[in-house]
Amino acid sequence: MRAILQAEDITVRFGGLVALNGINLSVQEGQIHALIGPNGAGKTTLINVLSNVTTPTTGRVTFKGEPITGLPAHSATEKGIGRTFQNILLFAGATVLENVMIARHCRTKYGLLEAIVRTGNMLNEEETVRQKAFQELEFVGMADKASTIAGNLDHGGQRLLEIARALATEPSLLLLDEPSAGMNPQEVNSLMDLILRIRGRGITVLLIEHNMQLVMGIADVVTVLNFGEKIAEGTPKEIQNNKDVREAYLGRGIQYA
Amino acid sequence: MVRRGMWASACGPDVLRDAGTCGDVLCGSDVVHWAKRGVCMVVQLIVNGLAMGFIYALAALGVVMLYNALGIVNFAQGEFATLGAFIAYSLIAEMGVPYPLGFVVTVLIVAAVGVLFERIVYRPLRHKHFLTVIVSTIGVMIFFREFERIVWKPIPRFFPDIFEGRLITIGNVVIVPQHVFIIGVALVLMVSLYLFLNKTSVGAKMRATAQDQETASLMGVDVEKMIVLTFVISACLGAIAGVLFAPIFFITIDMGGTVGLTAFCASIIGGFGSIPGAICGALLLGLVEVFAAAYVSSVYKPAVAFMLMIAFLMFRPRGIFGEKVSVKV
Amino acid sequence: MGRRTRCAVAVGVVTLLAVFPLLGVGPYYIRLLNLAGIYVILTLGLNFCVGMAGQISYAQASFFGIGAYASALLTLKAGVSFWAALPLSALVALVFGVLLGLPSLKVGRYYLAIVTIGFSEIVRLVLLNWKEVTYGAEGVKNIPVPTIGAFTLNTDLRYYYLVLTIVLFAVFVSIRIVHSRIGRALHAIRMSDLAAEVMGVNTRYYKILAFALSAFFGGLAGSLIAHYDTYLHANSFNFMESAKILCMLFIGGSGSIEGPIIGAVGLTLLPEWLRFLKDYYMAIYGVGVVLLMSVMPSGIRSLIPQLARFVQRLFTNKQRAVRSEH
Repeated sequence: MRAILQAEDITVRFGGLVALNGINLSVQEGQIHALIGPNGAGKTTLINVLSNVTTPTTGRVTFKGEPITGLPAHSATEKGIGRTFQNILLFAGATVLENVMIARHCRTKYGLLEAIVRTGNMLNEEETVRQKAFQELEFVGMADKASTIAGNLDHGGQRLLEIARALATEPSLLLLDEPSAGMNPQEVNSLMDLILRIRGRGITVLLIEHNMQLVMGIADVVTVLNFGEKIAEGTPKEIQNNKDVREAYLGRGIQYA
Repeated sequence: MVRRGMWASACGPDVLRDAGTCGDVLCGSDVVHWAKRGVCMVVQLIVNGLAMGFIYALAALGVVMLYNALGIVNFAQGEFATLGAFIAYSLIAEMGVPYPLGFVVTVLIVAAVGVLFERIVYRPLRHKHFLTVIVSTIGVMIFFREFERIVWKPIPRFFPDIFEGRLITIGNVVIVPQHVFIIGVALVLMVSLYLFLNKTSVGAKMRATAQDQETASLMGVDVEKMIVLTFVISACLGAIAGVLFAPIFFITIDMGGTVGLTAFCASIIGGFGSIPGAICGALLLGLVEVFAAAYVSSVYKPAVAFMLMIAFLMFRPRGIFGEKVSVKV
Repeated sequence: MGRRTRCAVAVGVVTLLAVFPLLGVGPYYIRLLNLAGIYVILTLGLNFCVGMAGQISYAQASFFGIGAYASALLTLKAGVSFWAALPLSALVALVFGVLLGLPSLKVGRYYLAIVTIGFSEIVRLVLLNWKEVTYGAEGVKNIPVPTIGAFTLNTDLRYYYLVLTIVLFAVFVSIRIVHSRIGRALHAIRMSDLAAEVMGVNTRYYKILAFALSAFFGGLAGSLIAHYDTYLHANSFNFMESAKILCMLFIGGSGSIEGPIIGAVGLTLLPEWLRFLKDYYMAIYGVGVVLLMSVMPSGIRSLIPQLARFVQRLFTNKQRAVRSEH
């Protein structure tokens, strides 16, 4: 097994506020890696750093052995890091299919002139975009909603569409920011199944979750953050029995499901 | 006539009307006079620049208060100033209403227009896309200008000088009383606005609304009323700027547009959303404009504010007083 | 609609546009149509930046002006033929478009609005005061009229076909771009800058591209107006002119192809039909913009589906009526 993503000594400061303090994280290829911790622990900030949305104050991130810190977010996507957002960030006015088609952008190459002249290459690429977009919608079970306006989907549907959209960028590492938030137990079950199927495609998954049933059910490794620091890491079993983790959570009055 | 031309070209066309009288001071023939003249000119330019700066500051306060309360920038803000100037002209110069009364009535009328503006233009656009709001304010701008064109005809108007052309002379320095009057009125207004916002309960409610509408309404603040009040204050500030401004410039249909845009530049330079920033930015702009026109070139005067603003956006985007804005994902 | 039908409709529309002015339309109306065509190009151009990518620009009139001055000065001072000056002036405008696109990477919304206003004011002042090159406040006079061999495009009707050609080019290019990965990328930026970037769109590149395309179209339109009016003055390319083009875009419906066309043609011809309003026209127009934006923020274009349904219903009712008669 080898590390697909390595974050070393990540610190993020916003003004005087320290959001992350010297975090080291290593994600192994082919695993489902969960990131848990109380609200405000810095989980989303870490995901933002890993997807190059936020540049860390110090520290560096390597992806497949290549340093990616400081690159614009779109090149991280191009290199194979896909992500979803905690506060769903869809193209709400566009259809479900268009949402996924936009995500194929970095996997197509033709330029302005080719688009105007409509070369054979351009038409081929467009055909592939359409096909792949449909495939991803089928994969998450939304093919029947292709022409629905994304903003009109229910909450669970929007979360699934975010995943389909991220998958369409052909990631080798998928970052999911609270994918189960706002889902009912049934939807959570099929989400767990979906995440396992994503891993089955050879995609490594790093996910932030509050739903412990999901984390304990499918994660291979769990990392716990609290107040911007890593307080524990291990298998779900080890984490469940970890004293510090219990304190961090129970201190806030949250119990395992 | 030569002297007149010199002075006029030095300070730009807006002080043309002061030219004839200021000329005498400027005609030193020996070296001592030349040196003195330099100092005098600087002092006069400072007064002139501060007066312009305070006009921009009043308009900028209106821009910033609206932005803080509602998150919108009203590009039609300057139109309140033009409207104020025209109404004051009709009342004072044409109908012979005494200046103080005419001033107050003008401000009241424009305040009413501010209420209408909130009802008709802003309310239906709340929560609409930013571009829609921008285009709508263009509509407002066109309407105001055409309305003025119909009522007052497209002729530049002279506003009567309330000081009847008298000048204040201190040593060799000659100061236009209107400039002092502007600075005085603006200072009084700013202090009263500060006291109103910070020492009265209505002011506290307005500040609460500006900070967080939801929380304010949970605390029992009538948010709707506070928003209307913000529009009224902002319109009044515009109108006052217009009336104060009227005697130094010709009153024209696009005079307010320039003031409004300069005020917006000033608030960016000061740090957008900051009230002290807007005032400092406006004073800085007033001074820079007057000095640039005197010593560099007067033809590019209208571009000075924009160039300074673009420089700030490039090298110090948070402005003089602003805080760095971070985007939350 | 299949590919065949679309082609047929396109050929039909082009033929109609080509034949229409020959059916005894007065030169005054043809002049209006020419102006409408020039505004269609301007508005389609602005559509890339504002309509598709959602980046506000008050500078379309500046690109119009830059193109016009570039074309006029190239033909007058450098002796370049109109046919070379037309694309060259569009390229000159494009360079300025890239320049104005740069701030859009740093600032957005209201800041960008004021930066573009500042840009256009600076451009206007330079055109107005750089006497050695632009003839300053006198304006540029005697700009040559385009010729093809011995044939001079010196009547409104002749110029109509030149304008029509460029309009068709602009529409064609716009349609092709909208239905491509470039159009999708621009659209994505308008909906959410961040989501677009994370989905792999190089938002910096595409924002600048949007400004460049806007400017290119603006430059084309500028060249057309310069050699049509044969006289230019810097003050015609002012803030209110940009505002007018923005209104055309939003009244028609931004982001689409038909919207800008409807807006530009409609707002050029409307004053003619509403002549009885005289001085009140512009005031009413201002009120109209405000009302339309609150009632129909997606523009007149949003009426098209309703209109189509209405026509369809009318048609089916008639059929039913015919059937019941039998």
